[in-house]
Amino acid sequence: MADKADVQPGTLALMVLKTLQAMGPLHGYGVARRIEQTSGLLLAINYGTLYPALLRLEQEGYVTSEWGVSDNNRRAKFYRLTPAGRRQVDKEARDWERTAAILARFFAPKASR
Amino acid sequence: MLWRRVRGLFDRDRRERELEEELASHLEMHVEDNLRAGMSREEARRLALMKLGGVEHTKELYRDRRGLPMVDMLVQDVRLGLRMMRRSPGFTGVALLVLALGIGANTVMFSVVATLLLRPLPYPESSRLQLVQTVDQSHRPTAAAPPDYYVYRSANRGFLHLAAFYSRPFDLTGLEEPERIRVLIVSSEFLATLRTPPARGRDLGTADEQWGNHRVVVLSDGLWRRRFAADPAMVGKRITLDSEARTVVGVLPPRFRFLGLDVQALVPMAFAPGDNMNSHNNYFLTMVGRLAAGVTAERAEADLGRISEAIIAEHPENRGSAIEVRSLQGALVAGVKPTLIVLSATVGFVLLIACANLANLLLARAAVRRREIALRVAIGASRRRVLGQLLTESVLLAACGGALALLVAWLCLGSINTLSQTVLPRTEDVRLDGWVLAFTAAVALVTGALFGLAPALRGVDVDPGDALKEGTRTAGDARGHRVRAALVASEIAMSLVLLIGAGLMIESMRRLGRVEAGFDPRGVLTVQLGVPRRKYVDAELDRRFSPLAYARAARFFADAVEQVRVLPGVRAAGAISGLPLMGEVWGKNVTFYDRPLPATIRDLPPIQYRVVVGDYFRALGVPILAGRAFTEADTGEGAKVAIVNREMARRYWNDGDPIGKVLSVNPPLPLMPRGTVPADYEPALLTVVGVAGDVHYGALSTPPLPVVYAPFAQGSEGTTTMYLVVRAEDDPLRLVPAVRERIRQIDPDVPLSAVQTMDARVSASVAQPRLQTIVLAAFASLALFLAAVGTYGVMSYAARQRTREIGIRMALGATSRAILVLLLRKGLVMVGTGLAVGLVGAVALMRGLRSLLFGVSTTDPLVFAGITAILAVVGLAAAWMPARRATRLAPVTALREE
Repeated sequence: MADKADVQPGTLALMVLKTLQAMGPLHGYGVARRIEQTSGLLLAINYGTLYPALLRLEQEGYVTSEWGVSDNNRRAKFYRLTPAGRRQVDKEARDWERTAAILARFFAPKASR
Repeated sequence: MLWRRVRGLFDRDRRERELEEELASHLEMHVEDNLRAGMSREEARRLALMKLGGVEHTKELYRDRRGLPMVDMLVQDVRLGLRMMRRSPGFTGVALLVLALGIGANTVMFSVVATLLLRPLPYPESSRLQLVQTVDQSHRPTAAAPPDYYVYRSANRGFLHLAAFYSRPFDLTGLEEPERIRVLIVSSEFLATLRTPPARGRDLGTADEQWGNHRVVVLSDGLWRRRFAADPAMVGKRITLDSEARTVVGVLPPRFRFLGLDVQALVPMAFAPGDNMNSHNNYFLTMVGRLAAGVTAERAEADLGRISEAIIAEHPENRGSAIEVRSLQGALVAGVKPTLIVLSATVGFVLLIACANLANLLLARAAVRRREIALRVAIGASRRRVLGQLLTESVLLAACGGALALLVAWLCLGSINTLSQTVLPRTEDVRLDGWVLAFTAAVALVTGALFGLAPALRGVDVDPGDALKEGTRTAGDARGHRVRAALVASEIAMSLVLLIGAGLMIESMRRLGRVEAGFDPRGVLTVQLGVPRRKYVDAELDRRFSPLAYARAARFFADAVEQVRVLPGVRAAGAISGLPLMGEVWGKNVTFYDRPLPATIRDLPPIQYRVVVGDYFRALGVPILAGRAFTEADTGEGAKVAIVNREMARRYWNDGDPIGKVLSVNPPLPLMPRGTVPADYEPALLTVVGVAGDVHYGALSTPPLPVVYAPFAQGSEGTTTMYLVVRAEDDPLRLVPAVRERIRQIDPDVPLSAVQTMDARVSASVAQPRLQTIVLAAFASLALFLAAVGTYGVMSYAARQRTREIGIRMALGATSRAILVLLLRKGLVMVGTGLAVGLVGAVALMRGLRSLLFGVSTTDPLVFAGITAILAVVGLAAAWMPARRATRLAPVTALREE
């Protein structure tokens, strides 16, 4: 149980950043739901793992957080991208694309065979 | 980033509340969504929780991310550990006591060892300083003659400086109270070698070595303050040393010490032209050198060896001597090294035993805490986490113990100074410094890990399901018991080693105590009297070996003894040139004139020489076994006489009758080295008139050597220092004021020193072995106690665990005797194994004690058997008590247990 959060931390962080970029400021629950929806419900994440990931992004200075009020009038902590976060999304997106492209080359011949 | 995480360690409460709130709002939003999707409230909540992955678990993940998880965890564990300590004050108290004593003993030992072996001597670059000594064939240090030293000094290539020194007392007079002070007579580069220039004034220089320029002195800081009120204008003033005015040219820095000696002053080494002292056959110098850059001690030694060969080629009587170079620091501690090693090993053993004991206590507790640990594992703590926590607890315990140990050490070091000044050099330097603190911290840490590891490993080895079920005994318990039994067996083994060590030391002390010292020390006062050399010795005659040189000194001592003898309360009074137990101080060679002469002067048999005044033998209670004691008739005019001791009679007359035989302690002319003999040299022939009982002049532990006593009044050689020996009717110390007054009346310039009863001297002579014995015995007792406690603990635990089994057996008709045997068997195996291992260890380790023992073999069967028996009895008693208690239980009670 203890190690679950570390399964693919890199991808989770990128998903969070991407979500915040697309949606603007959002609370943790919203981010979780959005990721699940975006993944087409293919990704069954433990919502709990999201909070350490958010904390880490905050510690790294890519997001900031402040308390606000949600759509249905609930107090919630909202996360938003910082300028550094924006740059990081671009950079990580590029990195990811490159990695994906490289991996794709490994899979491509197999598929054509 | 790191900063943020460090910050995460603080304002924990606010962050914790915030996290709580965030998760709560998360759950509420999720529940609301679920409700909207048509679930029941209960279902909605359950699903939301599941999706989150548990509130506590999430918090735990979050916390790990928040602070520095290691530090955070540690803080948590320490808090938990402190709570556990508070919760079981009994256990904590015992553990802290054991640790404080165990670590404290090691701290004290380390601070002593560190001072002596590790901390450099208080001179700049002291590691380059070497003690240079001539040694005889069996590597015993002898001394060098001045002409040889001058050759070494000028011809050697290994030393930057090579200084020579010797020490002798000087009389400081011209002040209100005369005083005999210890003066180091040094070659001019002595302070340069030590790189310790005087704090005031100038250093000695080569010019001061010229006879005539030599009347200068460098005072010690202590003497300058004590006798001259720290006079800032002292340099340039004159003081009187041995009736001779000397100009003060410098004052040493505070706390200057050399080779453990409290040196009061330095004077330059200078010889008058033709002085016999400065001749090739007068050996009294030791050398200290500072190695030149890039030269090793070995190379310097080889270089000096080459010079030594050349000297021997010229002076064949030096054949067999060699030169040895060793570090000054090593030379200083050589005498106490065996003691230090033994005591260090002892305290190490005690700490190991303490560790085994604490591991045992913790193991017993781990059994009790199985349920708590199982619970923690069940709600999601990882094994590593639990292990970490258990280890933290034990290290925390050890850390607290270490802190207490520092207190113990601090208290001990306060008393070690007074206790061991006579035994250890440099005790004034022993203190708790950074090194000692670091050592204690390291020992505490290692100790904690050592005694905590086994219990912690055992502790996490639980199956939560099993352990949580009430009252189940699992196989793990049996394994735990084996570990504990092994620990106790090792405790017993180590205790046995320590006890045997202590037993051998005690037996050695007992034998030392039974040694016939050869005199009756009770009610005897001893006083050192030193007459000023200038005033009492005719230097001109002394250079020519004339017995008349010391006539004035002889008269003074005769007067002093006579004046004291007539004091009320005095039974007998005498004086001698060297007291018993002071060391073999005055060696000479004997010539028997009724036997053929040997080939060289070196083949003359060595003897100890003592000059005597008055009724010395009666005053000290030394029996005259044959012939007569000296009388007042044995003066300069009468025939020259001598008394020999029994050992001398045994060795050289085959226990026959030496009375009437003629001997001399001056070598016969044909054997004297040419060129050194005064023209009127004539050996004094002494006729043996009596045989005295053997007296231990060296030490109780060394056999008496042959001794020749001669009356000072007609002795062929004299001395300026004699020891008054006064037998009193009652308390000898009551005589001191009267004695002091009488001496002052004869000559106010003669200082009295070393005023002591003979009893005190005897007791001081065994101070070192006694201290060793006391310390070793104390630690061995502690070890015995710990081993007994350990045995008792394991046995009572085992008995308690088997209560139910015992109940069934008794219900089925087993006798209590059968039960006792059943339970004791385990204890027997445990104690027996421990003893067997301990015996093997003791045989191997006791060899290290050899140099400390007197008259006892390192495998003394009586000590081995006796101590083993004692430990066996104690161990079995500790095993028997809980077993006995178990058999007394009524079967019904036993069955109802659990």
